Amino acid sequence: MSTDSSDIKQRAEAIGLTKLTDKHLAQLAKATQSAAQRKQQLTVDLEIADEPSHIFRAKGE
Amino acid sequence: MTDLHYLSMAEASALLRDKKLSPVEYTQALLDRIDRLDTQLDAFLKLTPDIALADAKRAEDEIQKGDWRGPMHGMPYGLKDIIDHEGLPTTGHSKILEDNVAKNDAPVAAKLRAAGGVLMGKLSTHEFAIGGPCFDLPWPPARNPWNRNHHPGGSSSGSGSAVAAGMLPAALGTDTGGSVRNPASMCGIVGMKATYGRTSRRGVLPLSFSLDHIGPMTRTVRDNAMLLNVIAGHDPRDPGSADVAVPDYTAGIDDGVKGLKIGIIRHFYTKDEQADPEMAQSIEDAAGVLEGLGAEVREIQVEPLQVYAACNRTILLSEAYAIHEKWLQERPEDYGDRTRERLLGGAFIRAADYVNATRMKRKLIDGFHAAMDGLDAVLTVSSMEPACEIDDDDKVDLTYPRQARAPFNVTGDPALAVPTGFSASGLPLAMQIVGRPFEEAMLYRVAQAYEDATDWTSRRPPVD
Repeated sequence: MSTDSSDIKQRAEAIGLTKLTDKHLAQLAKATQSAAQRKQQLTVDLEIADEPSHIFRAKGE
Repeated sequence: MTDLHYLSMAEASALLRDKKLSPVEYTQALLDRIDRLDTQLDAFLKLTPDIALADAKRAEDEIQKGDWRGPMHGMPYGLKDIIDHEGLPTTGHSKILEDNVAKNDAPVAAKLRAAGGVLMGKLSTHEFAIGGPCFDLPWPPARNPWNRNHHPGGSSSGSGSAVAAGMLPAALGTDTGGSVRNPASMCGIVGMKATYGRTSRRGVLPLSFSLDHIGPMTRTVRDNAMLLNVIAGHDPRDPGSADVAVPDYTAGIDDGVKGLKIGIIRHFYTKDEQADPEMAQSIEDAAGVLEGLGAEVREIQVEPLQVYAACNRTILLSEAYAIHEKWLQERPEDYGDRTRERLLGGAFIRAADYVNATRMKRKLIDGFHAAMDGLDAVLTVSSMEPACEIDDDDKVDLTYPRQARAPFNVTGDPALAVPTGFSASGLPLAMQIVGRPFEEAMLYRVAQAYEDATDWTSRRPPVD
């Protein structure tokens, strides 16, 4: 994902973040880059039917 | 008698019950200490002396009449300022909620009130339990009583600081990626993140619905078990609350560790991350103490720390962004710098990545429980190093990814932070003891045996 300054401003505005200053946009770019790096560490293999961890659990499960 | 301010809950409750200590006298002694120390430590956002003295007077009258409600009766405590107490501000340490007044008690606060506790005030937190320490908020960050130039840990920073400094015997914190256990570790006290669903989260500002926990923070293991006894229990109005019977966590606490099988996860702090040598050695020493008491300790392997961390942060930031989106759109300037940057990290996480992180969470839970097969508890590190200086931004930012607490927010298993000594520079060291769901009593049993064999929880910070 690009974190180029004009691109990040456009992307921010598209999701309603219209009041971010240049400093805030730089923070958004940095945080977005960190999130992308973190994604690389989500390395657990998933089978097609692996379900999310639901909050509700049957009694005794 | 020990100085009133360093009485354990167990000691104080016995004196209160036996009418050898007046709740009003005890409360006033702590209010005087807070008045003297908190100008240096900034642990409290709002002190509530009128409420405290009224609660204490009521407790005194009831105890005098023979109506002792239990170990919390007449006991001072504090609440992290994301937990509602009717009629008091719940600010989240944020300008955004500066004028927010709670309409009701959170169930955990109501339980403390019903047990006869004495509310002393609302405690400093990282902003919305995620952004801190920040120096650009309406209130300063809390300081570490072992060295006020150092970070007390967070996000339940005021709770850690106040309990360690003898301003309170007990406080509640919250924990989404380690926020009870980090300040407990950095301030040299005991902090429990109980099983997900063990304590009600209702009436507490949310950070991540899937990962939020409420937990007790105290100076001793027994006190922690006593406080969990009060706040644990099913809340049908909290959709994450578990309908599981609550045992007496102090029963069996003195049974020792002889014959117990305890795992140790070394790769978190020797391979996945390299812990500070003093911190790593303190975990080895603790394992040696438990072996000396008759436990069998063996090393186990689980997924690398980074996998748990990535899962935790992906879920946490996605959910936190959803919670804060409106304010980030309308009032971004009202957040502290560090908070804003952390929350914005959730803006562009794709829905598929969030869902896959929740799917991985389930696999990580199953994998951890398989690794615990045949074991009673597991030891590992909490923080990779002692508290850094509070104004060293680079080091503060590094402490968040370099920790081993988030795995147990992912698994939802109970995890207890316990002091394991002090660095050469005089700062606390700590470990975690982790267990199976709803087996908090086993963690207290292991921790009590370790505490009895060491003297770490009896040391006091240089604040007097």
